[in-house]
Amino acid sequence: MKLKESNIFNLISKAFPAGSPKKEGRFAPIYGLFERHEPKPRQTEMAFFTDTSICTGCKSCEVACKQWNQIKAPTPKWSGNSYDNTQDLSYLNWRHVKFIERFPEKNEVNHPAPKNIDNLLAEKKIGEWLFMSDQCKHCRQSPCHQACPTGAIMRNEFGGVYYQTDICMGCGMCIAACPFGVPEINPDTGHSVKCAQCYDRLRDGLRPACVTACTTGAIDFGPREVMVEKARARVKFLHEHGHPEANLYGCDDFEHYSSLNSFYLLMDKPSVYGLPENPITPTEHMPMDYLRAAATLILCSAVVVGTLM
Amino acid sequence: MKEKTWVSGSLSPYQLHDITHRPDWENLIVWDAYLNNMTSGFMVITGLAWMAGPGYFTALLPWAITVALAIVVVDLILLIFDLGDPFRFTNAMRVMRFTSPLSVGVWGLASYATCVGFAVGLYWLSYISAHTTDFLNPYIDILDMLTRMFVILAFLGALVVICYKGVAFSCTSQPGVKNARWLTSFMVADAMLMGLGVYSIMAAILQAPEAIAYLMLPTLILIIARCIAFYLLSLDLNPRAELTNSKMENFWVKFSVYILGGVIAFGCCFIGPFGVTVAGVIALVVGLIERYWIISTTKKI
Repeated sequence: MKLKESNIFNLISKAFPAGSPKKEGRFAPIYGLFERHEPKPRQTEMAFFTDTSICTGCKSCEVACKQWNQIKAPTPKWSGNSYDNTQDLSYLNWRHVKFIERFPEKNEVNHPAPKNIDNLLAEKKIGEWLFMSDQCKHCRQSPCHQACPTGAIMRNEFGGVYYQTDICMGCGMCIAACPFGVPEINPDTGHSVKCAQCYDRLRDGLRPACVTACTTGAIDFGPREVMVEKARARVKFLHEHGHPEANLYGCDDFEHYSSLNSFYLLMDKPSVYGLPENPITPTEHMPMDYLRAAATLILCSAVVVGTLM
Repeated sequence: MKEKTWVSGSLSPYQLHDITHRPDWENLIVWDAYLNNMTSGFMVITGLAWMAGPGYFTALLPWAITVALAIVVVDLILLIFDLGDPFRFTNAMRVMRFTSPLSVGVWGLASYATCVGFAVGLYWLSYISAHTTDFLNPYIDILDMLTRMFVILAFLGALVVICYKGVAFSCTSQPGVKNARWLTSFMVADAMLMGLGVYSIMAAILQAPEAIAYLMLPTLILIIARCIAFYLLSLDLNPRAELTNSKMENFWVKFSVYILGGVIAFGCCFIGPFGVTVAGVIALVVGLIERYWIISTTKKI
């Protein structure tokens, strides 16, 4: 927890210095508290489509993300988990490439090396790698957005979920609400942060840094409808070419959760990649939870009143 | 032994731990939940006793609202200093969002604290006036009416505060509490019992055994209600608690709730006003243990 020198009162006093004229007859500092700009006109809804079947785990996206967003890059600690030394999405890692190795336990080579590339390619596969470049899912109905008590979390004109760190008070309710484990509080500032969808680049007509840096085209970004079409075509292609396990995650609504504006083509079950199989919108239970509380309150109050009278 | 996550057929390394991130839910948040429930439960009991109870409770009202204010001020301080950027607390007062339990809570708590603050201020102002030069004599009726009005408003605010805290935990994606559908019921029942506990202690300090005697029956019934609510809650939380806590820890929590806070506190109530006060102290101690246990189930594994 770090106490920042600048706070809302300083901001207001800067915006409305003493002696400045009243605005529309209202006392200026109070007006400043409630002043809102008109939201930007809605643009085409944009989405990330990450095709894990062609990801090579090069981590260019991680590097590009850090570079563009000027995020600190501390020396990675060896995790012992394949090449994944980043380990998780965090306030320092808005992108995270996951590595899943699958090999026989006794993996010794007990035959001569293939004599040429054709023989090598013809060899039976003895293991596989799965890679996934993970990020904020920019949920179309995002629990972090619903849980934020300050309005610091907003949906931008491109349909992305954007954290205004100049408003965030660091309560952590967005962290508690997110079923994917995305946001985190930056201990240096005390504010919650996560992937900003490179909102600044989008407003300048550029694609997000991670998409631009992706060496294989595994991360794609564009109008959601176009991305959905691409994803469906790709999964169909993979099914037709011997990969029945290929599946889409977040392209369509879940049973208890909205679809995502960052969806994935996975080559195994979502849980293998550390994704919840069936995420649940936390507010789904809210009416009944309040009702249980109110019912208990009425019962207990009736007991107290009944015994005191 | 370390899992061989690279061996075909094994769980992947991402399946071996919780997916969600955990906010900084440590001592401050436990004490916030504790004091929040304590002050709101106490204010609800104070309001009900004042409106429906015999005259003993009217005499205790000024002290009761003063204690409620003291507890809510400490709670607000904890709530604010639990934030990553405490000076931005006012940002939560710029908007009101019903989908955010914390937003509902902040507004409820702020309204409640303001009203109880005004009630306390007005009462003690009248008191000082009456015991000095009587400088407020022409306005005493208005002050009395305003004090009563603010007590009623504070009571209404406390009704909101007592309900939101459980929702703030249960309507998240945090393992354990996200499945605890009876958490809100438990927190309300426990808050009411703790409110009775604080009232008994206050009445004992102010030497008002008649008021304590009146609190015996509701205390007995709410001890049973709390045990039932905790049982329902533990049905939801047990699977997670077995992963986050040791068997001994879980055993002692249940021992505290059912034996110490249940059987022993229940028995104490029959000893007389002193016993009811002891039962109140036990309810407060057990309330803290319960909240540490509930928050512990969200520990990341």
